[in-house]
Amino acid sequence: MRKIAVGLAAALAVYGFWIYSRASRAERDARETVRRESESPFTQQTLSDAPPAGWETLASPSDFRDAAVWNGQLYVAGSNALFRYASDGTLQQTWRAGMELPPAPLTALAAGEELWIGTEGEGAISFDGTRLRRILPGVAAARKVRAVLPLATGAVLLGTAGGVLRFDGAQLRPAHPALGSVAATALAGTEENLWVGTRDAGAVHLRAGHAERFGETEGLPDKAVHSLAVDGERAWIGTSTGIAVFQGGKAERTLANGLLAKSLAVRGSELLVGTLADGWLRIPLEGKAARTVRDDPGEGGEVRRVFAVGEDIYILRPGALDVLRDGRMSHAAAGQAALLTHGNVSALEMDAGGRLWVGYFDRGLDIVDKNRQRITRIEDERVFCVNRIVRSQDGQQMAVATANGLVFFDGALQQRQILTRADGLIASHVTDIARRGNGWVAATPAGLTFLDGGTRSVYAFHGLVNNHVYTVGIQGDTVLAGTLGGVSLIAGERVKSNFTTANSKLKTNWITALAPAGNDWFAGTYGGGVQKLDAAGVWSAFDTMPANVVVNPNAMAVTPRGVYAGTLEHGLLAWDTQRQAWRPLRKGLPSSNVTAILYHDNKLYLGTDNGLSVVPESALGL
Amino acid sequence: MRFRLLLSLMCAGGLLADVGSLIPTTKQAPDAAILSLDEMSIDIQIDGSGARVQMRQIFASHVASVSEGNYVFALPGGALVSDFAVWDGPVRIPGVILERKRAEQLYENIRLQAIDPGLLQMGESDSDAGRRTSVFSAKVVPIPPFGSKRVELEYHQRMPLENLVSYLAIPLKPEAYRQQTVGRLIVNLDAQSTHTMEAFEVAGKSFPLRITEKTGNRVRASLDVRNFALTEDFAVTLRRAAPKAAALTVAAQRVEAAEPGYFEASLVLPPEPPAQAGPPRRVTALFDASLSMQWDKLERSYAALAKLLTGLRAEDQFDLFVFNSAVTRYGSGPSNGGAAEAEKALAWLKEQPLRGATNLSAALDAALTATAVEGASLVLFTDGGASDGEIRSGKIAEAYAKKWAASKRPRTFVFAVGDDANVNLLRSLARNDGVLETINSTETPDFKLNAFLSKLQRRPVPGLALATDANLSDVYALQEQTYGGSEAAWVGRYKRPARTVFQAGGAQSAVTLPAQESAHPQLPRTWAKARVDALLEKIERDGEDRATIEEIIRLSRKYKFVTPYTSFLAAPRALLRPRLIRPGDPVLRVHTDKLISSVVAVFPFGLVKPLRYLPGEQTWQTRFLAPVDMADGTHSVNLILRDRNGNTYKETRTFAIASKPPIVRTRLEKKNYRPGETVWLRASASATTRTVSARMYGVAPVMLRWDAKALANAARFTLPKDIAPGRYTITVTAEDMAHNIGSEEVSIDVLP
Repeated sequence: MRKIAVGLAAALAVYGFWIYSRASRAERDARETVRRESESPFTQQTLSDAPPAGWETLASPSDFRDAAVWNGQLYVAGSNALFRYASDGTLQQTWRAGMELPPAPLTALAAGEELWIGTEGEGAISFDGTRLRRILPGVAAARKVRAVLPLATGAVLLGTAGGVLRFDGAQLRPAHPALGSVAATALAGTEENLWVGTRDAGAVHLRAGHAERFGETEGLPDKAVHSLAVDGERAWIGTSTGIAVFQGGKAERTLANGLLAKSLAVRGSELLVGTLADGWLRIPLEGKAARTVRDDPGEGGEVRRVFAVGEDIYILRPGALDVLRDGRMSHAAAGQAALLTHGNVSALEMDAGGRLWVGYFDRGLDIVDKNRQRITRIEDERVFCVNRIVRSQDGQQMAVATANGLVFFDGALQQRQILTRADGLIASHVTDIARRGNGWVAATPAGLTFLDGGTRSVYAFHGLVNNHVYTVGIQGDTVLAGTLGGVSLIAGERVKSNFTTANSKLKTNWITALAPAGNDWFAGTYGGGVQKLDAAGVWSAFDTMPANVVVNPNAMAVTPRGVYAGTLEHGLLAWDTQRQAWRPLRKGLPSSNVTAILYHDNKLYLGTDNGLSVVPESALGL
Repeated sequence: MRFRLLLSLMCAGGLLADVGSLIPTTKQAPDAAILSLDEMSIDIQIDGSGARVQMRQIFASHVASVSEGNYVFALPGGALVSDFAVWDGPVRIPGVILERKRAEQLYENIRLQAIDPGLLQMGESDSDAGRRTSVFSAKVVPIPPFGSKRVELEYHQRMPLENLVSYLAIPLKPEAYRQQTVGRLIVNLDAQSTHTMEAFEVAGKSFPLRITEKTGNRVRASLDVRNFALTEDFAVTLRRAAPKAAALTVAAQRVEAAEPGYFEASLVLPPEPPAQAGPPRRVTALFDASLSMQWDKLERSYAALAKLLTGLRAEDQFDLFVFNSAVTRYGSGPSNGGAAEAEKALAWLKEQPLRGATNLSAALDAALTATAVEGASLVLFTDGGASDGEIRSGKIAEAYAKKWAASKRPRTFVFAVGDDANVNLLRSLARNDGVLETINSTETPDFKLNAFLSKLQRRPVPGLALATDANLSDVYALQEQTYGGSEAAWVGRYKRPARTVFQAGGAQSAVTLPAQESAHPQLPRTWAKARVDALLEKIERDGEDRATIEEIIRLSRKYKFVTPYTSFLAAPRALLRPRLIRPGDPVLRVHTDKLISSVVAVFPFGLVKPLRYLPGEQTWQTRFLAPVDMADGTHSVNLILRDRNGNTYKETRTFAIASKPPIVRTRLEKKNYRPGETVWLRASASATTRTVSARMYGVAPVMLRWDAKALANAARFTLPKDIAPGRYTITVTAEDMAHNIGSEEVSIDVLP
């Protein structure tokens, strides 16, 4: 009986323990769940890999974005590199996007216990003086860091396209429920008195855990906030059309009406303002009537950051950092010498003389000499917003397709012919151009135009699967037109067949790039990666293609070794013919947005939205 | 993302024509949550074949801030705007007619005072798709917070009589916007005619029009409804009683003794006996496939040609020429009529590429040469924009008339399409024993096309003229030709009240022209318009001269209608605004006043981009990328404009992202049909869809229109009685505002 009692007691004890354990675990699980839910997934990584071998860069302008003084040294973030300068303006060290830094444009700098660097798509990077450490949020929008605010606690706030996040060294979590989904553009203040600027929803004031929103009806000149400054109870909110002054959380008045304030800083009794187009100015804070003082009335232009260090005022422009010291303005740092005019490359081609033609997304084009030492810059009303550059069959002409027409250049770089809709193109906006016998075929948003002395155009009326043609490819007498709504196969200038998701194994109708490879075609799509069309008209997909890949327009090339596709966010995709698999390549690229590919002399020229890289194909390890 | 398809980011009137819509400038379509149409009153006065339409609309703002909108009005074909006014609180701000140069000067002056005069010109749109001069648009500002805005518009329109039926349509059904609801709709219609009206019908099914008076010469009707969905056009048909013989009536108007009086004499001809099968016909069709015809003009011309060819009998013959910079003939000689050959010819036409230039002379020469048989018809489908070979209109017309006289004299029928059609040239061509029909971008073509094609087998009544005496002056015929069952009308002036005998077409009417009469107030303007048309034709023929231009301007101002030499100017208060925003894909283009010195675009996804000025095109331009996660739909972009004086202006414009072509889903009532049976077709399409059409072998294309009851786009067509049994494919095609195409095929079985 006693045994039974002991046994029962033991059983009860075990049961009780089990109940307790279970309850405890449930509580722990619940706590864990709550903790996980309140956290944002992220990875932390020390950036210590050596730069990839064989890669070169054709230098584009530094395009300074932000600057900060940290540990007594001047750091400037350009779109394609981070620079450290000595106090005399001497460049001491460079960390390049894609080489020492992840492949993304840099966006912001902030000095705290560490130096913090924001990137467009690769999260935030901290620098402790020797070591670079990347904080990469799991959500894509949160990787686009537009503002960084180090806090007194040692933590840091990251203003991203996907909310404001707080990183304390171990955890990344939304800074406040009200800030979970805002597209932040600027941060200022302290954790207890925080101001957040948003791209299209005004500003949010966070005080003692309470969030209050301010838009146009609450006193902002515009709902797009570009800059913030806070001094105690006062806050200044820089918008597209002026600066709102807040006192104690209430709108007081508007300053600098009509100016787009890119940067704000309080310096004693004056407000420093960097503007989009009007240089920088100082606004005395005393008195009701705000009087602006322009220190560079003749210079104007864009000032991306203005800040004070002691008595000095630093003015960051896209190409230089100036300092106003003891009443005199001087250069504190200059951007790197650049060969190219811009960084946003949209088209590449090599002419018969070995000159490299570089077209820009929203500018004209550069023609780089054979020695890659000098450029000839061309930009006018037609050569503007370049989509494609193609050399003629005989090498005597270069056809440049732009948003404003089609321009033919001769070997002396003279514009020999300019074609627009008035000259017979079905639309002036030419999205692609391809050689066809002794003539050409031009793709436009309104259809196709065949050129060979005269012009003949076809569009949906004639059976084209969609009017909006993004890309065109030639294989013998066959023309393949990639459109928003599928692919049209054209022979003898007549539409023979159309391929869409409805009648074929095409996964995405929106075709952005086409490249013939033997008897096959490789087709880049918007969102469906690359697919193959064989000679029998059968489409096939690739198992190794990552999901949701967007291939950029006309960013494909076929080489004897492989096929390459430039993507929006996945870098360069390479088709490894030996392994019959696609490989994503990002290292070495100044951006994961690869916009143009040229294969020449065993080298790949890779245009991105953040510069141009050159790499021997053999270095890619295919 | 690198490229996304961006639709026209432009003044809403540019692409999305609509009747009487006030569209918030931040939107691309009417948004009742911001501006609702609270009341619309339409007064229609029909006097014989003339109609005056007065519209009064009251829009209510539902936002707490001052807002603005674009008033967009799709004019019916041939309509003349005679009045436009915007109410600013209790003040009515009327539009005035000014000489165009003067209007532009005034516009400049007002603009310098930072006030937007809201220049109202017909056809102020601008896009590659072609100018739409039939779209009347105006910026309406300011609209007070939670306040209302009253807009008034008056226009005049001729209602041609065809086969004793005249037709008036007020296009209320939003085409692009699908649906608009009016809080209160009031319609008052007063139709009078000196010729007996046999029947009056409301074509639209949804309008509960109540007829309050109906006699042989007068119909009065009205409706007053609330919360009314404008799902179809308001259309009425008036059927005249068939006169046993030609009946001549005269209407007059004279308000002041010091001024001359105005008269309109109209002769209604008895209908022709029903057409017999007749001998085999020979038709030569000339189809313009030049770039200027791209989009709507090409589609409308193709539909008209398809109707012509599919209507031919097996014993008929046709020739088909496609022309642009080249002239290309279908086959080596005439083809036999019938569905099979018509389909082959239409398929061949679809393979002909567009070319950049139009050699109209060469095309006419080729057609005349090929039409070397008696009794043939030459049918021309074109906008008349000659740009290759001979391009002078007068010379083309002269040369054609000469060659036509030396040929077998085929009757020359012209189907002119587009708001920018060279009507004067085409009218001259049609004077070679033919007919001109014009159709603009906002018109439903059915009534005109049927009337046009019906005339191919009929002859006009020859030698119709109005005999006048010395008391009458400046008499103009309002039509080129008159057919049986239609009406010949003349307008003119009389010097003094007197009993006058009018004679035309064997009919006679003795009328005492009154000393004072105000029952026909439209007559002076009708006369002035006819006079201006004659003067414009003189200019087209002989070139400009100062006296003629001055007279046109004087008539335009006195009688209040817009001409090529005048503008309509209203001056509501407003801020300086860009006049037109026209980005392509994915380029943002902004056209501004000359004083603007910088333009910055602030995009909703955070991008801030200064635009670059392109002097040659007088536009600002940049390119932008919308993020990959930006959903399809309408988005806003803020434009910050700075003028040379440092003043800053903010403008919000919308753009639409449509990354997918429209999706069509088609429904048929059944699968099996018999020859001659009617096929009912219903289709749903994506929200961005602008037009839905259907095509089947042997049947002319049909447009599907929104049917509120069916909650779908719907159309019906009749299978030919001689169609062969078998399976047929119906292709239903939807086109969105960016000309993206989506289609679906459904099949039916035709049973023996």
